[in-house]
Amino acid sequence: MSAKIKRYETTLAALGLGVIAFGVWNVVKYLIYFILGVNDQTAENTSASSINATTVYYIVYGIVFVLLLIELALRLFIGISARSEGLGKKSRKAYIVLSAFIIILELISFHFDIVSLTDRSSEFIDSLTAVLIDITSIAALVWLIVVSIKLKRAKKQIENGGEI
Amino acid sequence: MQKDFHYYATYCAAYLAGYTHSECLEICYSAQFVDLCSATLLSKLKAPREAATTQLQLELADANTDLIGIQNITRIWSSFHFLPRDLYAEKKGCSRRYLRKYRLICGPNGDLLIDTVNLAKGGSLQAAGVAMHVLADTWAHMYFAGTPSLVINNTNRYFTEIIEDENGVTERRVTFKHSRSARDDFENSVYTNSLYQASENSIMNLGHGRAGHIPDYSFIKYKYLPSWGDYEETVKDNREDYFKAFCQMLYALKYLKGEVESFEKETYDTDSVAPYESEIREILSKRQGEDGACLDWKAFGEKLSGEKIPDFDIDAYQSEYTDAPEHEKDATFLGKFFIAALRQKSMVTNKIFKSKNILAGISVDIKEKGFRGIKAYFALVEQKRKESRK
Repeated sequence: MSAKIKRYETTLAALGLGVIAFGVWNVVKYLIYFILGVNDQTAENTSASSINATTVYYIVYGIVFVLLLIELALRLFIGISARSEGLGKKSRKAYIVLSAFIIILELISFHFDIVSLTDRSSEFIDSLTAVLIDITSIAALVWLIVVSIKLKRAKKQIENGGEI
Repeated sequence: MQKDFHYYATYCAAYLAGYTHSECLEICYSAQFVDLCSATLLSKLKAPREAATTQLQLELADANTDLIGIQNITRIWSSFHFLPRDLYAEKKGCSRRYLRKYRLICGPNGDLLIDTVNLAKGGSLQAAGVAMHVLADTWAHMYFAGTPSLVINNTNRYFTEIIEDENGVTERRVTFKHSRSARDDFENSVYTNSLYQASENSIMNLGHGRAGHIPDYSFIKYKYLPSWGDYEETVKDNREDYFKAFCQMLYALKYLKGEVESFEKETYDTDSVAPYESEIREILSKRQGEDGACLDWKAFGEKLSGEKIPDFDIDAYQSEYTDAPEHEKDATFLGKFFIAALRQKSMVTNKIFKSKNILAGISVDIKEKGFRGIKAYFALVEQKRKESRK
């Protein structure tokens, strides 16, 4: 097995873990926000005659939490599949498509974080941290796709009797 | 390497080099003692702690891994067990910090090996024993460095044993476990190694800990990816390497005895070994642990000399040292060993320091600067004065 393939496999396995870690971080961060009551603007946005503000608060947080769990599940699938391939086992290639999908979601989140950073709607440090984490997460996912494709090509080249 | 090679095989090599039975025992005892002379033992003997040639697991567990701690560790392990092959090796695209560690990678036939053997020339039998331990370990421990470093000494899942037997050649993936009490399972390639620690300077990443005792088994042939190797596979055939180590030890011992004019790299006394080659290779290839290998080498050594080789006894010379008056301690067996150890450590540390590498600490050239440094090393200055008076 060539040195390049081993390098790609090792990188892929590490990136798989990284993708999972970012997904876990998103959930943990959200739970911390919920517990500390950060960004609690629901009370300001509901009028006195509308439904109970606390109920809205919980519903909104609940929906977002479920969405985050769905995202975490997708990231787990991506991470475990990438890691599996990195360890030389078989894995489903669907994780590459899902990675692209997560990148799109991350780009949307990134856009809103940039807006938040520029219009100072929340703490500067919080917004800046969110931006940096988003950039890192996107970079990890892009890199994962690139390495996965390179690995596939390298293995094909070896199968066809070529040298890398 | 373990007792089978350091004690018994060294005895055999010394006997074939022409030493008498008692001289062989002194040499091989000293060679094995390098693996046991810890600061704890030296404290017990009230001997200079700077003469330590190894560190016990408990000592390592207590050791700091700040710069001073790293230097203390590196000084011992690089001087006696992982002699660097090339202190001026180059590697493109790496930082100076990485390069310092890269240059400490152990390997046979380096310039430091020539210096080690020459240092023992004209010295005591204990010095010869120390030199033989260092020489032998350059073969077993090659590709690892005597400094705690994840980026140099780590191993990963690409670790395969290559088994050559009557069925042909088979490869079996090595499984590493972390059970200190469990014995290595040779039949299923299950070995114990040190725990993975992501910290660069963790003690777990010292020497060949991440490969367990595999480098110390003479029968094993394996391939793996050294951390420093850029994912290039390295094959290590211990049977061949240990045989070369034996032949080179024989050659070095003949040089120390005065039968050979100079000690050169890449030179092995295969002619003297030839009548016993098949027997030696059989011992080296036998798939067994240290105890079995010791018995085989002992039997071979006793057959060679016709004399009984006593089992290694760490207490053998301790009372001689502790009972001796202060001014006579250096003339005792252990006293001579400590002097030899201090000289070896001093020489290697100096060479590493002169290569602009601070990992083994600072070394002062006594000839240029006069004596400055740890009091224990003053014994070397005194020794030099005594020798020049003679």
